[in-house]
Amino acid sequence: MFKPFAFTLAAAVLLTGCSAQSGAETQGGGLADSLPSLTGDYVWTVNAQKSTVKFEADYNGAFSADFSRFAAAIKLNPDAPETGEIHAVVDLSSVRADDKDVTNNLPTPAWFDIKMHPVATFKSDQISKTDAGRFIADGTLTLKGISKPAALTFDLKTDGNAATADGNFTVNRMDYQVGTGSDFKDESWVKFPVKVSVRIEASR
Amino acid sequence: MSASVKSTYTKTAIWLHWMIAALIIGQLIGGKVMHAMDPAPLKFELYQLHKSFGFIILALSVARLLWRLGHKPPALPDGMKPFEKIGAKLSHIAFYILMIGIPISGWVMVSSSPYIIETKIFKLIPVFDLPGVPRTEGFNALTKDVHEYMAIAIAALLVLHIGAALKHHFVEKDDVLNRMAPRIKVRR
Ligand code: HEM
Ligand code: HEM
Repeated sequence: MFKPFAFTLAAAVLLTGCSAQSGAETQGGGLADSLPSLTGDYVWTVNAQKSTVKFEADYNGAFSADFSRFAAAIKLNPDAPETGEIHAVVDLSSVRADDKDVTNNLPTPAWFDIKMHPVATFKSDQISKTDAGRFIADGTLTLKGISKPAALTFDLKTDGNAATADGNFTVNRMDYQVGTGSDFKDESWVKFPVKVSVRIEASR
Repeated sequence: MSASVKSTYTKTAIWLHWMIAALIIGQLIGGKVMHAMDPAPLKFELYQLHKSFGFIILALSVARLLWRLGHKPPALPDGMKPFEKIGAKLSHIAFYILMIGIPISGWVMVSSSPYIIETKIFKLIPVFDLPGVPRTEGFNALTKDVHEYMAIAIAALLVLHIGAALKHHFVEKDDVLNRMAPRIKVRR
């Protein structure tokens, strides 16, 4: 009787220790380590507090969810976008949806499977201008160990050394095996398209 | 009242019997209907209602069993043959097992679902998932079968039970139905 209790206690202490650590990651510290350190004039530092990464999907009606821990390395000269680079990493365990059941299920193997794949990443291959103040970053989204092309379109506003970008792209969740099992492999409960939106505030 | 009415069930026993009977019949029909529906928000809501009523039945049935263990029911009519008396007793025991066993099998089912869907009785009282239950599709499918077959068993038992009650009332013309349903006039 005592052993399982002691084990639970030890696990609880460990977990509390870890969560204190991951608290520091809100600033992007641990996550950012996996990103390349870019150099040059047009390297932007993301203000994680003022930026958001979220997605909208449909389960019994529309819902939205956001990630509180993410980090990005961005180099982008609006006048020479082809020289730019975007690298982003999102801690999938930091997801919170406006529906409690959704929040509880996302980390499980049928959805993000965060034990096996704790993060999602985006890496641009080519950034180009499509319109005044509008850009497209063609790149690769890796989620649940699956890498597929993804094109992030975004509007960029710069004001001196500050910049704001609003962008989004839509993915088919089945391309990344998100939502498996008999009830979710079709669209009867959860629709396939998922719209991912980012709002980035950065300075240089 | 005729002299053959020696005693009746207490008000508590009668209330619990009919309350639980009505809820279980509703649950049997509701369970089949919701199961046959195509996925939709309404289907989801019906599942939540089914779980809510199921837990009410579980609570009432446990209360009823505890009550029953402390009270002797009125004796069965002398005119019944010994095997009929044994049959009646066994069927009542089977009812108690199923009244409690079916909701527990439902509880194990939702606790073993690979999908974590919160159970909140009437959206108010949260119910925890049973610990130590494997969350796999295989085990979950097994619990669904157990739940369904137990539901079929109680439905079959109910047909027998109603048949027996009607036989007592209209054929034997004894007081068995009346002591559980005192408001029904004794027919002689
Ligand atoms: C005495 C109480 C109950 C009765 C008589 C009952 C009866 C039924 C019936 C007849 C079905 C349809 C089975 C089928 O056609 O496959 C069903 C399904 C179901 N029941 Fe119950 N139930 C009871 C309590 C509960 C409880 C307490 C829970 C959960 C906490 C529960 C959860 C479910 C679920 C999730 C299904 C759907 C299974 C599926 O769609 O595959 N039930 N129930
Ligand atoms: C699912 C629904 C039902 C369940 C689970 C159920 C269960 C029971 C149980 C366990 C008893 C034995 C009482 C005890 O010793 O505690 C009983 C007695 C009785 N039930 Fe039901 N019942 C149901 C529905 C009905 C219906 C629809 C009728 C009406 C025809 C009925 C008529 C009776 C009668 C007349 C008795 C008295 C038997 C006696 O005095 O020995 N029941 N029922």
